[in-house]
Amino acid sequence: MKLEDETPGREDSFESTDLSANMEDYMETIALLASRHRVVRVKDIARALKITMPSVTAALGKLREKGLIHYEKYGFIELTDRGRRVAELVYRKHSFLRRFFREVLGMERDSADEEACRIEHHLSPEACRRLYRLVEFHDAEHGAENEWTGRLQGILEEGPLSELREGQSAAIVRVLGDSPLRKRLMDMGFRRGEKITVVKYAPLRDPMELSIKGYHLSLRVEEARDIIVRPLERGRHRRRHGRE
Amino acid sequence: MKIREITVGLVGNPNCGKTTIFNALTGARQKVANWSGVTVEKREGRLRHGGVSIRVIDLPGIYSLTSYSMEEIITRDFIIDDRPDVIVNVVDAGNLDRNLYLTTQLINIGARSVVALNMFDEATNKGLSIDTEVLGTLLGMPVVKTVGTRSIGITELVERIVQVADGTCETARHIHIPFGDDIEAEIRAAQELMRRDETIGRRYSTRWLSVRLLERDSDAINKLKAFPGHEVILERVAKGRAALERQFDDDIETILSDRRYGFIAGAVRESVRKTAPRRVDVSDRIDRFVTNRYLGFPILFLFLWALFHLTFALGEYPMGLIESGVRHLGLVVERLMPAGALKDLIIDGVIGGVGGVIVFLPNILILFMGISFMEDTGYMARAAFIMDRVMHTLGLHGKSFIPLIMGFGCNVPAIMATRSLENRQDRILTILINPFMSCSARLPVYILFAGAFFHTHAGTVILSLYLVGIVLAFFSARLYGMIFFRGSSTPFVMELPPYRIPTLKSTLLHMWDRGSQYLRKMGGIILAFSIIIWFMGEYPKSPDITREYDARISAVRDEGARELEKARAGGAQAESLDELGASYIGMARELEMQKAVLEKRNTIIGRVGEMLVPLTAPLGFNQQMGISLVTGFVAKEVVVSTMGVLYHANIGNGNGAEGQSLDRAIKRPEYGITPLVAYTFMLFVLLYVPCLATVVVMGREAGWRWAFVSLVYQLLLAWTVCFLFFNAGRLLGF
Repeated sequence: MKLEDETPGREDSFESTDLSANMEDYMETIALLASRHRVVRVKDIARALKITMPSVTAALGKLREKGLIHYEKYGFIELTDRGRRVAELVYRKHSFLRRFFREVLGMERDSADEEACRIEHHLSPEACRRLYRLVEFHDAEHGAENEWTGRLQGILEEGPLSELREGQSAAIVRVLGDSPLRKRLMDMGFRRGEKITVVKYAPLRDPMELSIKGYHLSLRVEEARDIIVRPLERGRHRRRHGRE
Repeated sequence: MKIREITVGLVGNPNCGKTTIFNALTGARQKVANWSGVTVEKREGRLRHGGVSIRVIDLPGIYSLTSYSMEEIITRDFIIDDRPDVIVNVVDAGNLDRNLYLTTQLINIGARSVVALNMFDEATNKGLSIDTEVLGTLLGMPVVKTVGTRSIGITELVERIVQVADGTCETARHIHIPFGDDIEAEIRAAQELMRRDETIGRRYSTRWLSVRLLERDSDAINKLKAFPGHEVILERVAKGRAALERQFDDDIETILSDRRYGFIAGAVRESVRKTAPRRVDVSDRIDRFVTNRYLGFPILFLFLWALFHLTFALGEYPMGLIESGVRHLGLVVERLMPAGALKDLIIDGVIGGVGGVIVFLPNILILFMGISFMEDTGYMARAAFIMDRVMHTLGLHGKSFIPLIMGFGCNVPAIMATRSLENRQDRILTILINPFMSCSARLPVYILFAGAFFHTHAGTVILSLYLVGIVLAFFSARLYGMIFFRGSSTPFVMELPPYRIPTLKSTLLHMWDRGSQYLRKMGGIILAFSIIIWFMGEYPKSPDITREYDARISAVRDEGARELEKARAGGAQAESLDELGASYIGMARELEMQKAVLEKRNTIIGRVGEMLVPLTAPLGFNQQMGISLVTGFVAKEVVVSTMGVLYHANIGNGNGAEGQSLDRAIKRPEYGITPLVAYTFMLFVLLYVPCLATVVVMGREAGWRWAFVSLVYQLLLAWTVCFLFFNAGRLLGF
């Protein structure tokens, strides 16, 4: 579910709507469509939510019963005053959650949107309020160029070496476990901060060829899972690309 | 002048060109043995320098002196227990960062060392300029630039070795890797405690021991436990370690290795200058094709096809020469010696046995030429890289692939080729399943039986046998893995070294090495065994049977001649004369065959075959088949020649007056060989004991215990599979 323009959340109160997740989605969609077009029709809603027109009609019936919309069969759909308040609430929730995933957790735009959709209907007003304040706090700190937000970004970027793509470089964070393999890798120069590059994956996607300290070696993907790294340039590039 | 002897150990990372330095130092004056108790190779060579005789020992390639692998333990024990006069630390000049890690540990252990800065020509090409004086001062050991492949810098290296041994080298001094105040304090505390017992200091460097104890090195702990009062020391060290780990919020190994790398970074900064930007890496370019997603496999198969053909097709010519040479030698002896038991022994036993040994030599030499080429260029690592995904599912290593493919030619050189596998477990597993790769010696048996019983489908039948072999190899790999190597998959940390041009010298040395090893270590045993088996196949003789049947045969012949004469005198037609003649020839042949069977039956092998009847009968095999399986232990192709003797038939397409061809003989209904029996028999030949030479090579390469395990397992597997197959086939009405 995507909402294009964000309204900055001025309030941090998120009272319960008493609607099911489905119904909240309807309200959000109607509000969105209403902001874009002059009129909202059943067809538009069906297309936006990717469901059939009869199901939309049935749902609209329920929303009308609750006094959230004005709707006559084959006519246009309009939000009531109460409906507008509910829609605004749902919308606000969605946009700050999206900001949470994107700005605080540093996820890509599309997946941030998806994650927001997935959890927005399940959070209590209390959790919403606290998360909202976290996002605002992070925003303020980040703007003030506080060092910890950058460090947090770094930690959040950390992941197993096995998830890097061909050609991607990363800095080693740590080698997990207590295996002989770990010892061997440390002897071969796998230490914190060392730059490592995934040169390529073998034709059958396993093992992988790595370059470290000016030499090449191969590791099985399974073994590379224990090596935690922080992606360098290419990773950031990928994310910038995603935002465009 | 009195000749002194000094001992030198060569230590270095894998792929640093240690072997080229060893070869440059010692030339062909090498001998190869195993380190006691393990199958890691120990190479030793000698050279003379003025009045000094230098004994050089090539130690296994290692990255570190911890006790992670067999190789590391061997090297460390050698340095500590054998106390060589000098250690030559071979270092890849193009990759100082990593190679010097081992050097820091040599410093720590207190070994008197010389650094051979090898392949400095490559480093220069990379745009690195290294100041050996500065580096030497920092490391406290002389540094010599060398290029092992071209014997550059070797004289200087030898001079330095002697200087260091004499204590006349100014650069050589004892330094410490500084670990930082906190850690140093802990080390000093441990040393303090150790000094209470003088014997510890006399045996080991207390600083080294303290550092290793801090690092929780189990081997060092065991070494310390030999001394009384070790509890106090261990307790103190454990306390110190815990404090340090808390302070630095990291485990001690990481902290110490960070310090070592810090030292290295400093040394490199002081002594190395980049004179030119690094050019495009040639190896990367080659790898763009060689390990390419689409080209990787075709290129690998092309290489393997070439290797296989060279080994077995080209190898056929010298093999043919050897065989005919052996035959001629036999003929010469035949003419020179009076008939008798000794003559039989020499011609069939000794000369035949020697032939059976050296016949493998061309294959071994060519295969190792190819393997040496692949290893020296760096392609072997790429082949393993490509194949590992497939081999790993079988619990094997990427490098197991090449020995397995070579097994289709001959298991003997293939098993020797498993030496490129560094890990013992991978090696043993690869050796154990190698006999399932149907070697070319089994092909004559397939051709005979498939040709005789399956005519137009012979090709499909033979192919199916190869596939059964592969499937059972995979099955067995899993089974062996489950029984013997449970839960321990070895990591695939393998360096992909830069591509290098191999030198003729190292290739020839490698070939020579393998060839002579084969002859010395395996040849003798194979020869002895083949003579024993030949003897068992010939003795005891049965003169009564021979005499009786010879008399009967000549009686039949005489009678035939008389009858023929009579008939001709009676004016019989030419046709009926031929018929008459043929019937007597047939009778004589029948007797010859009975004689051969009876004679063979009476020999030791025949008796063994007879004893085995309760085992071979449930598989549908007749007695001739049973006996030929026993003789087939020498070599699988002997199965065919034994059958030739037992059926008194010519092998191949002989259709002379005497006898008939073997493929027609075995089809005669009275022998009871149905297509089902024939297939079961081929299956048995595929699966049962690998030949004598293979068993010997297995014993030599993996240990006799494994050879025995393999022998028993294969016999059981062959019998079970054949029993199931034969009975299932019978139930289905074949």
